[in-house]
This record gives sequence, structure tokens and C-alpha cells, in this order.
Amino acid sequence: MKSEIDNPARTARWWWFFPVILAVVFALWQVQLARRHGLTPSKGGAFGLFSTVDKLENRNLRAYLLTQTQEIPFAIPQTVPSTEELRKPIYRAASLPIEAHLQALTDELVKKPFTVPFTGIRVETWKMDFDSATLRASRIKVASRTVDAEGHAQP
Amino acid sequence: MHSLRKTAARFGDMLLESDPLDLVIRATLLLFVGMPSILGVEWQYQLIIRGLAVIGILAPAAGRSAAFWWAMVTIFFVKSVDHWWIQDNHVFLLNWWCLTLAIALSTPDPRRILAANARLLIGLSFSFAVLWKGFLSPDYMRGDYFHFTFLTDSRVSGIGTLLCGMDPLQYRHNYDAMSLLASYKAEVQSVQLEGTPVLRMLAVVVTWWTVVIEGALALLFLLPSKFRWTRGRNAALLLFAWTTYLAMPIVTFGWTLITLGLAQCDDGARRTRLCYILTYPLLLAYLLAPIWPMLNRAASALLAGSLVGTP
Repeated sequence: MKSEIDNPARTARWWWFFPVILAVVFALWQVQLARRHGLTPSKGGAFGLFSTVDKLENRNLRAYLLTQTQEIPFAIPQTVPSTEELRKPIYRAASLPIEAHLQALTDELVKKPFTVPFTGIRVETWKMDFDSATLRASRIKVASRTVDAEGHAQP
Repeated sequence: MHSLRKTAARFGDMLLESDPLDLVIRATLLLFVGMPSILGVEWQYQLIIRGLAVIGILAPAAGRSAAFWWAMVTIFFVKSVDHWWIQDNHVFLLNWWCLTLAIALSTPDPRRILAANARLLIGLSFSFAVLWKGFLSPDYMRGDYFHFTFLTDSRVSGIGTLLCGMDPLQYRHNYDAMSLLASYKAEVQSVQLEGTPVLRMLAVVVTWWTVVIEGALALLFLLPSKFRWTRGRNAALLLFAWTTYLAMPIVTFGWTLITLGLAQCDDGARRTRLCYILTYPLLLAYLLAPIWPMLNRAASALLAGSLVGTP
């Protein structure tokens, strides 16, 4: 016997299923972003969360202060004040490290009052990799961006 | 004791006899009130969504109005536009669910629209999960994901200790190794983790079990109800919730799925509805009760007893 909810009294309209259509469109878009632009599969709404070790919490942002003679690593956000305004750029750069997101992060970082005179800043996004056979966990660079002290992109 | 049983029975009857639509609306709103991870970190969103949810619970007529849910959709969508790159999958699912409620309550046949969309959303969620696991992810089918999780995630260390011979020192080594790998001061590119062969075997079993049950759920919920074996869809979803979240207590996702399951449940299926309702506190118990440490202690005590008894 068919249940009441499977036995429609009136014809279904396409817009009744608009949420399902949106769910599919967004999920396919997420798949595309993950495969082409480095979005972590764990975010974006396509249910890739438990499919890979490349989760957002396993991603790692590294930042370097570039001086005339050396590269000084610094923590994001621990050594940089005003972390509240940095929170969004940090998450964006880690989750979807496209040029615009990395640039937004470096734009915020160059404004900070570092005690060391610097000529530029480099930020890097790293993801996790794991080999089940050897039990080795490694990090792999996904993207990086270098800017000068004014925030202009450098090759 | 007798009066307690009577009160529980009366409460159960009240829940089961209430309108299924009201039940689904209340379950959704309770999810918004009780699960802060859905609402994000910004107080503005937390305040507005929780405030609206409380109004919807206290004034059921408001919760049943389409305008109320269009307001909720607007807030959820603004929040998603602001956060989509860090937003969890189930929050997207809740976006689509709020939209479903808004659309359904704008029509004369909300129950049917809710049920149909809930069924499709569950089926699609599992389809995409299987697509990622089976085809898109380079490391899942090798067992890497669960192996890595069992080695480094403290939430599941109880299973490794109880079933796979992992000891606390190995876990400590793994946690320290992962911290070193993430440290901005250390230019370490890779670290060696410690495990046991049994843990790897468990990871492979869980890997395949997950693909099989998620694939089955995708099929059961996407196939039309005219196929006979789709009758097992509720049992399969409940089995998934009861087993998966025991090992990995992710209550927010579990409650979201259960709410959708409840919404697509036939109005006459009282026993199934009761199972869905009881799954809410069960998942919370999985999270709050130290089940694995308790089992660990019991196993150690049992083992010690049998060793003492050995001549």
C-alpha cells in the first residue's frame, strides 16, 4: 500500500524541489573548486568531509617575513595582533587558497607593526598527506604568494 | 518507579500523537537552539537564529508560518555567503532544509513536499559522500583516511586502545608528531606515526563498511518507493546513526540526518517515528557518556581477572 506522502493528490511543481536542485548545483560547484582550485573537500557542501585527510583542520598556513638577508617564519595568528580581523582571511586562505584569498591575507599582514624591518611577506598553504603503508604523515604545499612591503605581488 | 514509567509512556504518546509536521518543525528549531556549531562564531547570527528558534518553539503558530521560515532562510543564506569556505556540510544541508520548510509551508500540501525533499536530500547527501569516497578522493579507498583518523584523532582513541592494542604512549607520540608537523617554527616535512597492524585492519574494514552502507542509503532514499526494498530505508538510516555515531560521535550531523529522516517518515509509522525520536538522546549519550573508556576499563578488569585465575 502506498503511503499518503507517496500518493500525491495533485501534480508536483518543479519549484517544490528547488532546495534539491540547489543542493546538487552547489555540490557540483564544490567538486569543481576542490579539483581545480585547491578547496579542501571537507568544506563547501559536497559531503567530502570523511573522504580524505585533506581536511581544513589538517591544513597549515605558514608565513615568512622576508628581510634583506633571511626569511623569518612567524605564526599566524599568534604573533600578529588584531586576530579578529585576520580570522576570515586566514580561513579563506587555508580552505580555498586562490590568489585573491592569499592576497587578502598578505594585505592584512603587511599592515601589522612588525618589529623587524622587512622587504616582503610570503604566505604558504599546506595540506596533509598520509601513507597508510609506511605510517608517514607529510605536508604538501598547495599554494603560496609573495608580496613586497607595500603588498604588491612578487613573482 | 511505576509513576515514572507512566509519565514516560504519557510523554511518548504525546510525542507520537502530535502532528508530524509540528514535530519536524520543533525538532529543526531545537537543533538550532541546542547546537552552537551550526550557528557559527559570530554572535549576531547566533542571537538572531536562536532568538527566532525560541519564538518558533514557544509560539507554534509562528513556527508553522511560511514567513517565519523565509526569514530563517534569509539569515542562513546571508551567513553561508559570509562563511561558505569554512561551513560544514550539514550546515549547507540545513540551508536547503530551511528553504524546504519555507517552500512547503507556502503551499497547501506541506507534509508531502517536506517528505519528498527530505528523502531526496538524504539520498543526495549519501550519493555525494560516496562519490567523494569512491571516486574523487585519492586516498580514501586505500584506507588512509580512517587509518590516519584512528591514529591521530583523540575522539576515537578509545576504540584503538580497546580493540587494536594501541597504548597511550603511542597516541602521545602521534599527537606530538602532528603538533611538530604543524609548528611554524619547525621546517619538518614529514613525521613517522606509530600504530598496530590490527588498527590498520580495522581502518580497512571501516573504510569498506562506510562505502557500502552509504551507497545502500543513497540507493534506498533515491529510488522511488514503488521498489519493495526501499521499505528498509528507515531501518538502514537508523542503523547507520546508531553504529556510525557510536564510533564517531558527531551529534550535529547525526541530529540533522535524524530530523530529515523524521520528516520523510510515513505518518502512520508510529514505531519508526519513535525510533527516530529516541535517536536524538541516544546520539547525545554517545557524545557525553565515556562509553569507550568504560569498555576499556571493563576489558582490562576482565583480562586481569582471567590472568589471576590462570594457574
